[in-house]
Amino acid sequence: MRAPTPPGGPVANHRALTRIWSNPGGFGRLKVVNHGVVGKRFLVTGMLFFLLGGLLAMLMRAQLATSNNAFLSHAAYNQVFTMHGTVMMFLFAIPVIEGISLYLLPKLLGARDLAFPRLSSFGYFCFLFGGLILVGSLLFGVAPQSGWFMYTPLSSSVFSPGVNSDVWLLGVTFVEISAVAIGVEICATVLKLRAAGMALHKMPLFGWYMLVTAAMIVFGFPPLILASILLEIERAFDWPFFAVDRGGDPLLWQHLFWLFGHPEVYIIFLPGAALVSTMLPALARRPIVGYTAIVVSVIATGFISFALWVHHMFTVGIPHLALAFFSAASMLVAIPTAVQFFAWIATLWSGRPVLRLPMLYLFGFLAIFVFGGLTGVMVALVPFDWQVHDTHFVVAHMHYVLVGGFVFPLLAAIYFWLPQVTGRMASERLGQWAFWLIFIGFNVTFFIMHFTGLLGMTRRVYTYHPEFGLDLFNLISSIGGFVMTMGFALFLLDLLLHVRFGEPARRNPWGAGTLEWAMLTPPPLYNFASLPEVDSRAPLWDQPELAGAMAGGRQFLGIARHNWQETLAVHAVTGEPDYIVILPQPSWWPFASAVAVGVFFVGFLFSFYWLAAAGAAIAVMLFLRWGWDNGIREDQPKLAAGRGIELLRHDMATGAPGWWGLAFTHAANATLLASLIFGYFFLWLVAEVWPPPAFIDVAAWLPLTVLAAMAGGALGANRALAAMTTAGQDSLWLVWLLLAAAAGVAAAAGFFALPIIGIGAPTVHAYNATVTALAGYAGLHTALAAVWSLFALLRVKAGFLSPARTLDLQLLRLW
Amino acid sequence: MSASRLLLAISGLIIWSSAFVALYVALSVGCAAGIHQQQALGMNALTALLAALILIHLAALGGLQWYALVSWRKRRDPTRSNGFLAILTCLVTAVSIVSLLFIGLPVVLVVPCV
Repeated sequence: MRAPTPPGGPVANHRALTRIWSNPGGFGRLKVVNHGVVGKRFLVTGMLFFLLGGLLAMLMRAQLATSNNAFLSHAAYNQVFTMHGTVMMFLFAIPVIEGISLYLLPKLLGARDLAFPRLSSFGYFCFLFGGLILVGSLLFGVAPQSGWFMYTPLSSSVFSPGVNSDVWLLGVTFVEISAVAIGVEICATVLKLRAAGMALHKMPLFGWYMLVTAAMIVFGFPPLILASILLEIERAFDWPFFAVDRGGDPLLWQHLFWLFGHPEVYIIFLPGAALVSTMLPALARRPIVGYTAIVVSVIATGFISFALWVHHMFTVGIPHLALAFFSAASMLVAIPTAVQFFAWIATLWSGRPVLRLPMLYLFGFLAIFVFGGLTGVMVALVPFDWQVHDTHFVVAHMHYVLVGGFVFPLLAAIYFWLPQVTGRMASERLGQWAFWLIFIGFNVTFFIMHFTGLLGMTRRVYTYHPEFGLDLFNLISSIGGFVMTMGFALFLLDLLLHVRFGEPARRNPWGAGTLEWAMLTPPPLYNFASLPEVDSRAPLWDQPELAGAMAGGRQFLGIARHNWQETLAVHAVTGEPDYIVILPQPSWWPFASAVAVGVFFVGFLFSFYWLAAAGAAIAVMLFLRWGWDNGIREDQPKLAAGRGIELLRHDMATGAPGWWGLAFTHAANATLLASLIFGYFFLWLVAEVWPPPAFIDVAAWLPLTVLAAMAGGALGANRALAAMTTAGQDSLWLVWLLLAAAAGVAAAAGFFALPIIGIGAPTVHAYNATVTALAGYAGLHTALAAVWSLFALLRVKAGFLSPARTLDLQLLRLW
Repeated sequence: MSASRLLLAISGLIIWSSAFVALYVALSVGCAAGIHQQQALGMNALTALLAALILIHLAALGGLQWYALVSWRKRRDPTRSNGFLAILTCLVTAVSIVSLLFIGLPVVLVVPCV
């Protein structure tokens, strides 16, 4: 159905939307939540950290260029290599992936913003503050120095008594809060905030890739968050999770770290592949070959990548059959990756490729990543891995995979989408020079490094003797490293120059079929004047009239009204219009909450635990105040959505984005709990000094009371929701919510009392520490249940809930 | 059609994950408990246990594959959501079966707990 043009015409509508979506200036920029702005902040900040990481790499290559070099001391080298890995993994790769996703996803999916714009702003500030804690430590010479995977006992207080390890544990955890927040954001956005008609099978592959990647972040990061919490508690309070003499085990750290660490490799590669799969059809001028096969491959990669973690631990001494399971899975994961490669080659083969700048970088990706994948299959073989473990062979392999799998697609993507972001084209000539310097420099650095490793050069050692015969290999690698750096410098120069001197880009310069090219360039903050109804995977190819209809406001939500920032939510599978999401405006709450969380981390870092407690308490209060603003106090009828249909707003609809967000947050939280339970059983089974001096011993009434309180809390939450749904304010909701709150307090008190009464101090044995941690986890969650119950009670009192508006109580029940 | 069909589409790999975890846990606990020092069904008892775990998961995957194929025959049109999800379920389940056979193969080739 053709909708009418908005009153006042498209230009007046554009002006109204521009006003509604405008952002504050000055210090008010800290309030900005728009996905385009926040995405670009992630990207620029991540790239600045990339420059720092590159500088650290140059310091390492300068040190290793000759034998017995005294350019860096061993202590300085330890900090430099640890920070290089940390910065590249946690402050460059993941945040840049998040930045690209935050920027591109709504534009590709045909939405005006993300599901939780304030959450992504909060995520950005967590990333920024955590990153500043980490890199700030370099300035004071107290940077982490135990390697980017922080193995215990090297990182424990015995061998790292200074603040260095604490900086890593707290800084990285701060950054990981950001990652999980963005993971939740992406999952909810891809599932709900798409264009009308964009059923899952019509979704751009970028959406599939990022859905799987975000789910991997949600399930993959909590084990490391838990490991960091446990090690920080051990360092701060002497709870012996990893101390062998008191029932702990350093291998627990390795398991938890690599439970995160190996999925992390694919969390970095899959977005690279997403960029390739999105750019390639435009550059090959034909639809991607094997859409369904690629979707299956991406899903399979997401799962199988969680079954590889022990291949980083092949040398720790576990049964051969267990090694065989992980070796087999490590080889298996190459197959879905190969399927994607064949699909890309087939797309190029059967298309009419244009040899423009992004394509050059894509060829670089194809060559380098294939090589990294092949050496990956080599190190998946246990006997070979035993030979090259901890040598420069692994360093070379890892860089081929990560630089090939992510950096080259990223560079291609920057050249590809630059005209979309700035409206200008970069220089082909400078870009080509940059490519060849980076490509040649990279291969000179890292190809020969395979042989350096095979000759026995171990990683993380600050120098080597001349009689080892490694001088020439290392010198060549260092020269290659500096050539590569020149390439990156040229790339950066191209980016800077294009802002001033770049030729204005014509609309859709690559002839792409995806929706982000249907908008003005540079894009307006509201993305689309009206939201499209699509019926293909490449709407701009198959629906040539669509861009004009969108710009003319003749699609969905094409009329600016009530100062609302509106976008459309669809059915997760079919893409049928579901409800209208009224998005939140700029706000101080994300920034203020991130500052409060930062106070918690800084307090912990300097052992000012009162400050940490104050920061945590203020953060909880700020989160509650932030949440208070959401919702409406009166029921509202359906609203006109355009094209002749009416929809409810999200506060009135079932399955609102908030529900999806909390569901994915619970998934992350459950993974953290599962990791803690795994830790308990792992120590029980493997640690040397077990059984503990005494097991927990309490009278039966205490655990029974706790269980009864938990059941009472669940009953209260369920009945409150049922009462509100059926009878609204006239029901017994108050009684049920008070029951839920009281039960939460009772259960929390019981959980906190259990270890105090039942076992000795948590410093005595890892069993005591683990049981206390489990009880503390449960106590914290039941206490929060009481807080949420009282919060819901106040919200009902204030009129935010009615039989048609029960989201708060749905969320409480989910908790 | 509910979003749970999306969950069904990936449930083959969820079963595969369950099998992987079960094999690793059973091997670790079995070695610690000394199950490998006993015999069952004319073979190492731990090998028999691991093989049983594989067969149980294969049976679950087989049932899922059968269901997925029946669903796919009913909804052959890949241009519609349910047709696409039916194909996706079939393919993901097939991948899961092959993957389980591949990671399970060492059970019959390698002696446990060595």
